[in-house]
Amino acid sequence: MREFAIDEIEVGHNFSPLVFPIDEDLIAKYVDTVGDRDPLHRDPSCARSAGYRGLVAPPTIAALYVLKAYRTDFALPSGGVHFRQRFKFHHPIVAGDILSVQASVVDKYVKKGRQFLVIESTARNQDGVPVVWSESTSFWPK
Amino acid sequence: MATVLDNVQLGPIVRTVTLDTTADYEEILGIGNPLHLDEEYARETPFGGIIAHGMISLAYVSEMMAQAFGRGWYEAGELDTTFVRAIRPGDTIITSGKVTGQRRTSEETLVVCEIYCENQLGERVLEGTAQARAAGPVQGIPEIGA
Repeated sequence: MREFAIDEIEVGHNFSPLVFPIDEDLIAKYVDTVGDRDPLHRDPSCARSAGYRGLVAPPTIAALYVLKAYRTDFALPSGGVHFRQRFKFHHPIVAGDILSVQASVVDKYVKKGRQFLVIESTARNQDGVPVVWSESTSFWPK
Repeated sequence: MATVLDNVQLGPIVRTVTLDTTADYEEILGIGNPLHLDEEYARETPFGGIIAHGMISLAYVSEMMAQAFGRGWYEAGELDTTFVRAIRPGDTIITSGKVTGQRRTSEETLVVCEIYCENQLGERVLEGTAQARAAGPVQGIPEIGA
């Protein structure tokens, strides 16, 4: 995928949507990596008896698609540093969900000699329910 | 399952981030960023070596919030965090949080928390705020105007 220079990236650009399926295997790999032992994320029957439709994903599993949702059209320049992250969790993500993620460039500015880029995304599940809102700010040293 | 808050201090979650952690995280991410994988490449960057994804420390913060607020985190959680220092493989990350305020409506109580993560040297690697829905009003915590 071609790497864009910052100047080529326009505020308001809507990235092509990303379809991101969540399954038990992905949840298992994620919780193993981050060391989360909560049975809600490891035992489907525990999650169901707690009233969820299936194995519950830790909400920060959103990080996996957030970083991909703004790579659907072009690659950002290398050397970017993830500086600030905001999330709003609206609805639990469970195994079997198929998320549609729409990311867009919402801001671009230079501060203290660094080039900042702010990208927002919203993920909805297969029922159209918004599950997570995200805003990621990265900078590139000039 | 939302638990009753009996202590305004949250956490800690204590985890050591290893080279395996960053490699596994990068693998499920599927991007292949050499800054998290390739020591030779990373040495030539301003970081001078492999660093971990800031998002890994955010996962620890989320686990701390989920332990305290359960469903109230999954359905009404908010995070605003800044990655203030790079995490290196071998670092032990300690999460901390404190409930600092609450916002009450007729339907629910939202609590506001200050959160941060430190490494084993006591240096902050992440700081910010979080919000979650609590099971009910929290005693001894100031109310914030709606």
